[in-house]
Amino acid sequence: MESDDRKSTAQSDTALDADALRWLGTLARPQHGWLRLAVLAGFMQALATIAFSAALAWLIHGLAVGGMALKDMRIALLAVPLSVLTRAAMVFLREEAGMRISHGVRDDLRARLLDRLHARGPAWQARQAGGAVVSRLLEEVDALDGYFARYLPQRWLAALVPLAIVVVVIPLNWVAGLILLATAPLIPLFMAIVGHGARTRQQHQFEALARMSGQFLETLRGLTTLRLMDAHRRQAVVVERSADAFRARTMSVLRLAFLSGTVLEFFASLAIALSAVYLGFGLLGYLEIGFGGTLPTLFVALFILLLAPEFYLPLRELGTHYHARAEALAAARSLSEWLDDAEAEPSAVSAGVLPPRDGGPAIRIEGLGFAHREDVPVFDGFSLDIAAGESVALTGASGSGKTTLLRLLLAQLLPDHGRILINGTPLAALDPVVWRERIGWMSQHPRLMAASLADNLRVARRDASDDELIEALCLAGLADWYFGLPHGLASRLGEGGQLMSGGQLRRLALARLSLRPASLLLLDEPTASLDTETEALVVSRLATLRAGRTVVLLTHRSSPLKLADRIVRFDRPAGEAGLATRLELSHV
Amino acid sequence: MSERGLSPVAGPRELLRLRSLFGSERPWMLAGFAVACATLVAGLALLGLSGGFLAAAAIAGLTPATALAFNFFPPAAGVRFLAIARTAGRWGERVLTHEATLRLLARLRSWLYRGVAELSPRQLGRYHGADLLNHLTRDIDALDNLYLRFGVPYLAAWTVLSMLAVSMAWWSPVLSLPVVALMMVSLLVLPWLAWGLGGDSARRAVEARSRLRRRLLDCHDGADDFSLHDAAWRHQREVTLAAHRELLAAQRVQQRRAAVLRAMTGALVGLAVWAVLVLAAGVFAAGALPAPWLAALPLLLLGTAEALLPLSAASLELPGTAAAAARLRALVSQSPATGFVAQGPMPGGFDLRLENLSHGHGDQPDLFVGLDAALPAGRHVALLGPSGGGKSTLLSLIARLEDPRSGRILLGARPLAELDETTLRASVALLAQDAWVFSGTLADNLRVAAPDAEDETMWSVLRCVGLADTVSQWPEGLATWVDEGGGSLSGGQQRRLALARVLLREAPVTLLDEPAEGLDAAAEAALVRAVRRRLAGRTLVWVTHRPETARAFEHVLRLESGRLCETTAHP
Repeated sequence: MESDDRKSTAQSDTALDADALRWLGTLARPQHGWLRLAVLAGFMQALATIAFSAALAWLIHGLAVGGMALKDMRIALLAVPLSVLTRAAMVFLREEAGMRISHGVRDDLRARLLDRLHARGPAWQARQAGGAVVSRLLEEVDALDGYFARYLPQRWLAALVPLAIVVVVIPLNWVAGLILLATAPLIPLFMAIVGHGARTRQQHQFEALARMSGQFLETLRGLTTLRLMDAHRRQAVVVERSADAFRARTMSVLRLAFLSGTVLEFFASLAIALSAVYLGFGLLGYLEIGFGGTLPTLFVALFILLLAPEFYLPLRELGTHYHARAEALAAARSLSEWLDDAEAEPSAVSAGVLPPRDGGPAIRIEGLGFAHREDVPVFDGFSLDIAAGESVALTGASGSGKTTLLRLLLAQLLPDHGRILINGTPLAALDPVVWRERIGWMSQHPRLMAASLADNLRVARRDASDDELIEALCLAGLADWYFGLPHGLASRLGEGGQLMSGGQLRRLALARLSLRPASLLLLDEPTASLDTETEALVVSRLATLRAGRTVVLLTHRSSPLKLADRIVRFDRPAGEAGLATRLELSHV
Repeated sequence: MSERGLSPVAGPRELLRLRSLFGSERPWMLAGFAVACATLVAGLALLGLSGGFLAAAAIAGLTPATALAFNFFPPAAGVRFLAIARTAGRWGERVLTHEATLRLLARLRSWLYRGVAELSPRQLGRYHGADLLNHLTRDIDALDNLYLRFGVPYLAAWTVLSMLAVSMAWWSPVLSLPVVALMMVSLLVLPWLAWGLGGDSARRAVEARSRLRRRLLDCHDGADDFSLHDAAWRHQREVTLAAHRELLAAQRVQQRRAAVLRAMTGALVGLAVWAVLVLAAGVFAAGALPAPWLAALPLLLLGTAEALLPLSAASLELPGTAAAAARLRALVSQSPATGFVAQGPMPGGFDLRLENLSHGHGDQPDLFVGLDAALPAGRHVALLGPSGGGKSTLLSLIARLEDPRSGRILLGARPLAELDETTLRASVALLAQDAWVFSGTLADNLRVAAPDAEDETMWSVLRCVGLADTVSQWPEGLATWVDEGGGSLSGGQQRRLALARVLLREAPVTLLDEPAEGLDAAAEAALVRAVRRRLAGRTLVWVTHRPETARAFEHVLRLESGRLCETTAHP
């Protein structure tokens, strides 16, 4: 699958780049004010450089051939430090404005991605690796920084600044102006050359680095395997040899790729050399062409000499930011896809009313069919009636689709056919957000968040008072643990905080469950991997909680079955995954 | 993890320590540095010579006689030469510095590899949470760029500015003052400031980033809870976005500092140029400085901006680089937990004996206490027991990936600790649960076990593990490429490949930790038969959680509640 991706990427690289660029453009639109400021500051920076060059040229001219002393050139003498300081201020302003563009874009984008993540729903998220989701929201968003902060303003400056310099030079000396201007139409060409050169160079350089890092990482991961084969010392030679091979291959490409980067260098040097020789001849009186009849002055000559490299500078800078562009394009492709993807969780579309909230709902499942993947149905024509306030236990082999059934009841997944009725109303017609607020769910793997104990409990009910939280903890058998905590409800849990054992975590989940103002309880293996003592506590507590509520319980252990009015067995013929669920009912 | 996150103190000395790594790459590094200097000099000289030439021409041009007498060939040729030298130099500099960087990269990896290869898996942190290895790669990447991004520009700037100071002093000592001041401030004070500021702001950014990472992970992992309670989601969203804004704020501080450094460096060069001009005016008026040099000196100095500007951003990264270097050195300088003797005796035989063995992980209580068992050479046993009961740990003790807390293991009456590693590995082969499949061909993967294995031998082990039919249908056979981690093979195929590799070791004692994981009962039964046939006469321990598999063995060991019980079934 990944190699397919790579192939299609190679085929329509340019089209994808164009799409990604357009998407980046829409992101930048709200930041136009800052972009303008960044470009303006960059342009002012160039003007300050022009002023600096003029003042410097004038001072040297005055001293060397004008017969003047410094005190005769007060304005120019002051203009030098002034323009230097202005330029420094503009450098800062330009970076600041560029940073604001990038920060504005990223601030907004990450919030949108987060909402998108939530909208996709837990059924979708359960299929994603946590690390991949996090790196998308963290690393890929940050990968856009260089593009917005530096590349985008620089693209404008690369066109504007050379133009301004030509406009200044032409009235002074049209031949020198022409030397520059002659290269001006080449600017788009240069941009392409710089872009291309930078792309090949960076691609190879970074690819080599990434591959070498990847390979090295792999060696480290497989180190124990190597060691068990007594191959770990031998591998040292392999590590070196492969790094050498990478180097040789990369350098053969880089040697060529650097040439295209040198083109601009060459033009910048050539412009200095050409204008110096031409202006020198003019000063000596050999050439009168271009000076408008009057002899050139040292001032004009030096001024033009100083401006010549500045003409090419913005283009060279653009080349150095090219990597930021490539990085942003890669990130933009995956991020835009993520945002645009229409596959939302069902809740986003439907909205409806709810039957009265008191008492556990009656649930009727009619001919339910569902498949995660085509041709591999989890259910096919599954029916079940659960009376209001009834407690039903579902047992059966793992992987038989029990958890999927809970997700269908939560309206996180939509059935392919058949329907679920809640008190006679189709589930699809209910407002899923309101419906879910009435459900208490105890998951197979309760999760601890890196937050305070109170926040970890209020996941169940945001507006619960401190007293209610403590009561829930005590009822869940966590009283001793809680009163031993140094900071009470404010104690930090999870990574870097208070650690909890598996049994404590399960009891915390129980406390969460008892906080829910729920009329339907969905219990997914509530006592998995608990010792007998804790299991007894959890079961007895759940027995209290079930009063007046409808309960759907999944378990493969015997003790929680005490909670059930009825046991339904889910069974599948062994080894024939994908066959329709066969159902046996047995009344207790 | 926390002790790896941020190393508390890593001074500039940490970076100097890296010198010892350069070794034979020093000529390349020096060449890169020399060409970088030459290119800078050519760039400065181009501007300086052009300015001087113009001034000289302007003076000569004042009268036709002097204009005619003016020999413009040397300066004009010089300008052309320098233009070409600068272009060619820039190319050569890039080629040489990249060559040196890539060579250093190889050195760095081999240094790290050699340091790490002897560590026990536990020391490597394989079993301690999070993505230590990813941290590690990030640290290496940070060092990779040190020479290119900071080393060369910094030293080249010193060299060129010193040369400039000397040539200024040639005309008048006072002229070199602005250059010396520029050197002091931009090459000492600013990097020193950047070191202090960079360390602090980088640390804050790293902290904010890891906080946001945790929050985002909570958003993902807690999706079930959040989908049930909207108010809880709104709270979580708020907290996450707060962490996100905190990260942006930390980044803002860092970027602003880089911008200030950049602006200051540019301003310093400009002011130094101004100061040189003002001082040169005095020297010129005194007649001690010819007019062309009056023009050339400020322009020479102006060119140094190109050398100094890239340093400002690079020096902000230095504290992070030093911390990375410190972390890597700390990792590499550990002494191996299971030290092997260089040259040990041969084991007298292959009877295995566990004597009074106790072991547990880290500061956790013992998994088993006072374990005694004997396993005569050539016996095949199944090892059963609940998960987490210590079966894998027991095998890793026998393979000496770690040493027991107390007690000892004898192989042919010799304690394991007396054997050298090559002897032990040749005697005991272990298929660990997380056996790694390397990217490379199937044959590459098999040759990890036996570098000189013939194709026929490889086919025979593949036949044994039931992969031969599948592989022979692949067009490239043994040369089929396998992705890192075995991505292009199914779970069952990966496991079989790893098993084939262990069988290729032909060791007298073979320990297989759940070799049939991911296979169904029938497939496992077939595998047991084939492997047992192949290993007839040699010791085999087969870990499984299927009682029916255990029934295929005459001897069954059961590790439960820290005790080892042996049952011998049907004669």
